[in-house]
Amino acid sequence: MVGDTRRGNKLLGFLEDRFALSTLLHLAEKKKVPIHRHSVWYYMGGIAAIYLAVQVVTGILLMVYYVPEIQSAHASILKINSQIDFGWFIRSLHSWGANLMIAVVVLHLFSTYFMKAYRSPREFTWLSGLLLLVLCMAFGFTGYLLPWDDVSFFATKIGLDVAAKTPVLGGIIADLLRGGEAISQATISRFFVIHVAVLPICLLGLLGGHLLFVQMHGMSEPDAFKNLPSAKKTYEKFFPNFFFKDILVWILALNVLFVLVMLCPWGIGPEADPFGAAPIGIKPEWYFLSMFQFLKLVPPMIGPIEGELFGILLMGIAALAFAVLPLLDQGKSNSMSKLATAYGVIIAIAAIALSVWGALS
Amino acid sequence: MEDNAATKIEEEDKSSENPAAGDSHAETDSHWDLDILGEGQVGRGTMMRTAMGGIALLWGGMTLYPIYSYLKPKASDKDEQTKVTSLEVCKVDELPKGSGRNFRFGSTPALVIHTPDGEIHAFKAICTHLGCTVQYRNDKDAIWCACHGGQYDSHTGKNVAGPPPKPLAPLKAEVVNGKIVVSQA
Repeated sequence: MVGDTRRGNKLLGFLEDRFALSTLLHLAEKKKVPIHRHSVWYYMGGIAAIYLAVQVVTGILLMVYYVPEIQSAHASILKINSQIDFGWFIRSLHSWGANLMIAVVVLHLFSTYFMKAYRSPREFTWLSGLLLLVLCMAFGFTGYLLPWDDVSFFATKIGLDVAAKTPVLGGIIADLLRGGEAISQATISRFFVIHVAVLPICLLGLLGGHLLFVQMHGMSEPDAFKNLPSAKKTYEKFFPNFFFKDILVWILALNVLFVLVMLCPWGIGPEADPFGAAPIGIKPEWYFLSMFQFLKLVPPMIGPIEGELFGILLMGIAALAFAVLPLLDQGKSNSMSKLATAYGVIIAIAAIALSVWGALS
Repeated sequence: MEDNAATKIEEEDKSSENPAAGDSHAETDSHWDLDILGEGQVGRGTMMRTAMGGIALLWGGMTLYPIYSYLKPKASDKDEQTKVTSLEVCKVDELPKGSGRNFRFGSTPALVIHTPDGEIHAFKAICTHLGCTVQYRNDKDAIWCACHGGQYDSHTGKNVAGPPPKPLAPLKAEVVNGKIVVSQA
């Protein structure tokens, strides 16, 4: 291979000497993807990545016209939606893309969990993935305020008040984010900076690590596949076989996004009125809906502690257990493995049930 | 800190191998006589590691403190002009019985209600649950929060249903010359 490129083409030879292309190609060809009935889940990370790329491109384009200022923010989105050529298209791609990305990331999370792909040596791939999900939700939360319409105002208000109820640092963090006692210009400025500068830097670093771990450890093989006699195990090459299928899946994923954007372009509500009443029927984005519904169900006081605080603590413990159980389930104990699976099923069912309940009530 | 602990254990191991070493200053490499606290002699490496750690912490603190102060909202950011003690909301005729009106009272949202039995009450419109802005609902004759469905009594502001843990903060409402005047309770 090395010999070929050197003799065959001067340009390739030039690049080969500088970038060791054949080594990279060799790595890509050596990487193999197991073929089994759960192989479809291997595409989830890739789909999330292509949606992320859409977010980056459309986000940069939106920044050209968006004005992070309390009197102009809502008007600038209206202008993007109605006066700028393809403005509605770019903005709808960004809003729909964000939702699809979180949906795919959640699928990626649960497929990883139930295939037990978190087991040694992939613990850090699991943890970095979880942090990436948290970052995605932070992107969603900060981006939601920026159009400054009535729902975005109250969503931010509730979100920050929930944060403020968290013991120890909650109050300080909520104050730093809000930039004062009430949601104001300071909040818009801070959320804007976090959304377009702080979170992207964190995401790049973390995603780099996540992808590096994936390359280092190769594709995870579920137990059922791993225990097959080696003659019965089938693999395909990552490059070119899986890679081209990946591209096909990306095209499909982009098509889903385009269809949604065309059929239901993203709108904008009336401008936020900090002194008006919360609009009837206000609800958070679907990915916060289960938590919203859960907090709604908790009674005002549970013994001596406020219900809200109790609810936050309970959800925190449930989330922590979801992050930590995989570190304990390393495939050595059958009961631990069953416990982890059962817990995942409970969390998934609870999240779906609460979300549906929240959406309907 | 773990490094320090590890070093100590190593040193202890050495001394257990060679019982004489523990007492002998000459055995170990160049100790400084810094045994102020009576904790045994401090090796140069330990000293340097501790100093480096300390400097790193100090430097981190020195960097983070200005950043924190820069980002921390100032108490004086609360606009002095928005401090209000009393406010004329509207004429009584403009607020028929069985209706309410949200208005701005200084820097907080507020609500005045003309109840079906003809009383006028005012409250800060901040839900005690998670701070949403509440409104009067004629169909329930109650103050209601759209965010999580909390309800308050329209006469007293007492939390009667849903998640709110406390009653609404009251304001004083009076009718002066046919106008509704709201002031701090």
